[in-house]
Amino acid sequence: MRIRTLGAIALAASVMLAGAAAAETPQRGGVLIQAYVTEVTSMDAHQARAGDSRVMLGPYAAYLVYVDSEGNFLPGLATGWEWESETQLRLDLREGVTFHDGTPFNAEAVAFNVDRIAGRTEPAIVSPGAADMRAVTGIEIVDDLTIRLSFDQVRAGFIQQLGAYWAGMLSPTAIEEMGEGFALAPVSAGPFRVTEYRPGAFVTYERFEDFYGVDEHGEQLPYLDGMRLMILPDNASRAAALQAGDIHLDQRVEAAQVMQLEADPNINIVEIPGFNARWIAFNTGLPPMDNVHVRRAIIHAINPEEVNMALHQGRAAAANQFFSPTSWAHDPDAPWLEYSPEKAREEMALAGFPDGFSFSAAHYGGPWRAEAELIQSQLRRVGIDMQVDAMDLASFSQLYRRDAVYHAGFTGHPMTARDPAHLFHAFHHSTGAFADPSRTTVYDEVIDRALLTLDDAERGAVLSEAFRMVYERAGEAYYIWVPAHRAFRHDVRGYALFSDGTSDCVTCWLAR
Amino acid sequence: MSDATGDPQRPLVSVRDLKVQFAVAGGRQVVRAVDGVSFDIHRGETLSLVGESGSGKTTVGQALLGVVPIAEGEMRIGDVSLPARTAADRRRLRRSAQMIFQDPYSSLNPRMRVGDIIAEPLRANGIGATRGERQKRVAELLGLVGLPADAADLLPHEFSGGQRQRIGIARAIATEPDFIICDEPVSALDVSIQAQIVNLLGGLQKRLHLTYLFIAHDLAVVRYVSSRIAVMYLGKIVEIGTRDEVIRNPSHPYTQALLAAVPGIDPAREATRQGVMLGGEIPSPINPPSGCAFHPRCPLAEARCSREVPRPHRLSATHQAACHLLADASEPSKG
Amino acid sequence: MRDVAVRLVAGPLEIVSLIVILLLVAAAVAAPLLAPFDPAAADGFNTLRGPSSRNLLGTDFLGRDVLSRLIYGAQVTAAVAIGSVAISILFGVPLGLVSGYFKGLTDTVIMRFIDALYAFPPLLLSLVLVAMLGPSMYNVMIAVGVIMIPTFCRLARAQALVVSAQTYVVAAQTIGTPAHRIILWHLWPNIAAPVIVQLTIGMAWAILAEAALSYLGVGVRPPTPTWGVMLAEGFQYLRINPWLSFIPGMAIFLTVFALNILGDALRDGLDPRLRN
Ligand SMILES: Nc1ncnc2c1ncn2[C@@H]1O[C@H](COP(=O)(O)OP(=O)(O)OP(=O)(O)O)[C@@H](O)[C@H]1O
Ligand SMILES: [Mg+2]
Repeated sequence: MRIRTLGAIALAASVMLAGAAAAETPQRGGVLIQAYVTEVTSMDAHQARAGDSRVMLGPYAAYLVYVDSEGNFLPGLATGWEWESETQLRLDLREGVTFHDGTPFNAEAVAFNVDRIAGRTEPAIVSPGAADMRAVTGIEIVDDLTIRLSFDQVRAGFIQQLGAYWAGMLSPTAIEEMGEGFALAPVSAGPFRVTEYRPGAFVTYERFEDFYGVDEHGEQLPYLDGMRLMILPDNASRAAALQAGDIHLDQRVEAAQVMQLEADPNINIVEIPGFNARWIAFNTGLPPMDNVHVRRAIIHAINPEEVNMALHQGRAAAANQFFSPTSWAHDPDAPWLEYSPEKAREEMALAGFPDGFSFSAAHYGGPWRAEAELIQSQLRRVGIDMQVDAMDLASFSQLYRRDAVYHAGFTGHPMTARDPAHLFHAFHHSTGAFADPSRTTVYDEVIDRALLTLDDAERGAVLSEAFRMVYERAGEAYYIWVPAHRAFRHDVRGYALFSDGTSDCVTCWLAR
Repeated sequence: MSDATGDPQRPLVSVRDLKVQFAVAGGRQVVRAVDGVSFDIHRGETLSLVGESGSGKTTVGQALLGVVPIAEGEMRIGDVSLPARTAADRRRLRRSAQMIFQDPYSSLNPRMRVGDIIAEPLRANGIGATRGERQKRVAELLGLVGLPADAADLLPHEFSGGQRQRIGIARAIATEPDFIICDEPVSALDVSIQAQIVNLLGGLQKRLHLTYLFIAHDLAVVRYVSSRIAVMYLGKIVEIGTRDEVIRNPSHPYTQALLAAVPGIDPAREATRQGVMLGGEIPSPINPPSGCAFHPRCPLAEARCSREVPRPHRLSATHQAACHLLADASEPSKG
Repeated sequence: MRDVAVRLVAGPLEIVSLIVILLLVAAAVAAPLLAPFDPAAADGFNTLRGPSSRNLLGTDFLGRDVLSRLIYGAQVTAAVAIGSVAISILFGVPLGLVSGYFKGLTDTVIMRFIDALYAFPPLLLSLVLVAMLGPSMYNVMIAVGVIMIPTFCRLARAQALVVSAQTYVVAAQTIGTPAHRIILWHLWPNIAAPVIVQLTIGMAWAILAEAALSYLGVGVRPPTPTWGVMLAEGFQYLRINPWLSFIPGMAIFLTVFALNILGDALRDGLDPRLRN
């Protein structure tokens, strides 16, 4: 159970995990060993570049707001928030909080963090949250525990962004004192402090005695004495380590290992359905990918059910739009281009390639390796030749997104990490971080409109309009929604997830 | 030491004050392999170079062929001064001077056919334009050294040591040289075969008008083949003279010791050789003994032998030796 | 040469090894005739199946026929083994010969370069090379070939040092044979035997390197099957279907083992000391 507030809002059912009988009293002590697949880009939360960095950042970083797996906002360092006008937000801050280094947390510290993320401090950093924080045009420190932010325009979804992985509140004194070294020994106000960080290998954390959080009985959190997080990139090794008892918790289980772990009576598996959307982004600027019939032919030729059966044991679901049913932005009535080899051939004829055509695609490994290979085989059945190149993320960003030398790129997004309009913006707006390499502006107007719409229902309607545009352009090939899996040994209790599918283990304890 | 024979004919080979040094131990030390050697060889004669292992005999031969760089001194073979400076000189030298090696096994490439081995100097020196011409010449050479013509198609390991040495000789005479350095050509062979090879070399010398520098580590073989004998010790010639002078009247204690080791020599001066048995080992040329390099092993050594380097002493017009004792004995008259 | 042939098939182990290598070559050459299916044709509804009358070695995680992939994989394996060793011999041996014959400055310069090449962890270097060149079979050959250059160069140099001290090389010098001919006539034939032995070891190494590169996902571009790719893919399903990695693993092991046995046999067969 994860308790953060006076109102005692418990996390939703999905955090009540097998073996964690509610009646059990948490036991204190012990060191939890967990493993994750990949390294953070930076342990400085502001400069981390991937949503899953939260696995490593979460234990030490404290956030103003948390978003639970149901999408509810939970108070963190902010105990309250209120839109005083459409462009003015007041945050009430928690009293008596200090950072790990003893620096007091207050309105001053929040102002510093907002400025730093926006890139307005010296030396200026580049944060993935820069655009969100630059929208803050005025900061007013009302008193030590009250701060007022003003915006250039309506910013729907800003509260959710305060819970994003990059929005951790970091100690201003530590940042100023340590400079570059901060990323190796970061300081915030989270439940654990970082005691050692070996890039690429492991992080060790120690319980922060003065953490502000308590459980529903008023007991001080966290229960654990410490944690050790190891980077183990090989999926099979991670699963084996878990089964051997070398680690307690695997924060990323791939489909190929799920069956194996399910068969192990000592291991619990958490499934987060429809968590990851996987799709092929088209570079609509590069012929023949500029031809809508070519794109439609590809989409019709992909058999999502086969991908599901072969690679996800039927646990996944065929995708037909950007958001899976787990998101409120999902539109059950959205039209899509279903799997149909006949229609694929018709579209090929319409495109002027009745005998097939060839295109290049890039991916950056991970689950895409197998999916790309299977889809390659599917496309070949109708005569479409997809040349696939595997590369690392940096090369992918450069070659696919920046240099636009590939016709298509395998990509995807986790469902609930951000506000839907922001997420859609990132991939479709011409200024988005992951926009189509051709930087098409066709979606800009509708996205801008969604971002200015504060009401969720109205915003959903605007987004549905955008989905229809994607459908009409056949702008990208959604193929599957994949559940995410986490696995832990039976002696781990109290494991809870945030909306982005990560956990900071603040409520974890080890049963003995 | 100069060899003043007074012969009006110019010697074919002339060596003056030759020094050869090798850097060893990564350049930190110097081996004085040859340390001031002079001699002449006349056309048609055989000069034997005798001395224990390590005395620098091979190095003298290699210096003459330009295989090792020389530190000091002057050398000449025929009209060519060494080291040869122009390509034409080098080519002339290679044709006119050749070498026969001690080890008939390691001196023949085990993976080359005999015909190719013998033809190698022809190809390298552009003699015999066509393959046919070379084959003819190879057959001829095989005949000269007493091997059947079909030997050309076989590999060296199919021959005995003596036959292999014949192959080596055929290779050496292929370019019709004037001068051949025979570096212990029989010491690796069975005694029964040594005589055959020595006879072959003698026969070829007459037939082809060859001049030999004949290197050997003892005097046993040398007494049959030599016109003159030079005895080397630690990079220096300690005695040089005609065969009879050196064998019958060995004047340097080292020469006497070498002779004592040869059975069947009946020298006139039996008495002087008594007790002149060679003990110990040849010292290192990196750190040669002071004074006369032979003094630590010399049974007759005196105090000054360890201090002063002995000068060559002329015993006859053709006979010289470098020993302090000789200087004493002969100072008043002797000559 | 007959001695060598006799020695090669001297024992049962050598005969088995020879058969393994001949089978590999046969599979590589006649893959399209031998393979029952297209090795890249996936069937997502028929994955991870055990052996059946249709798929003699079962199917992999994408429902592809394992036997067909194994047979086609032999093509890449054989090509990479031969190609990369050819590259490393072509560059390494002449460099080593020149270095060992001329010694001195030439030697220093060449060996500096070789040592620098050798200083890199070999697999890392080939990883970087393939990453630079891009994933293709030829680039894997180049990458694996380049990292084996130092091995062949050092071997050739060490042998050249020994051989150039032989009297027949001195003899050739006194004769006036030019350096390039001495290297060609005298050095090369006399160092060929250890190079040939090293060649078999090099091939075994190249097969493992290709497997490692493919395992790391930077080898030959999919869907071309290679044994390394099959091994890597199979590894993900080790607990569910161990055959998937066992079969290519066994193929790699047998080939490497056979090459090592044949290398030993060749060494004995080519050693002049054992000849008479
Ligand atoms: N290339 C070389 N580098 C270093 N030292 C050398 C070299 N060649 C010869 N020496 C040394 O020079 C000295 C004379 O050697 P050399 O071979 O000329 O003697 P040798 O009288 O021919 O002996 P042997 O009877 O053993 O053939 C020896 O001490 C030998 O070790
Ligand atoms: Mg010698």
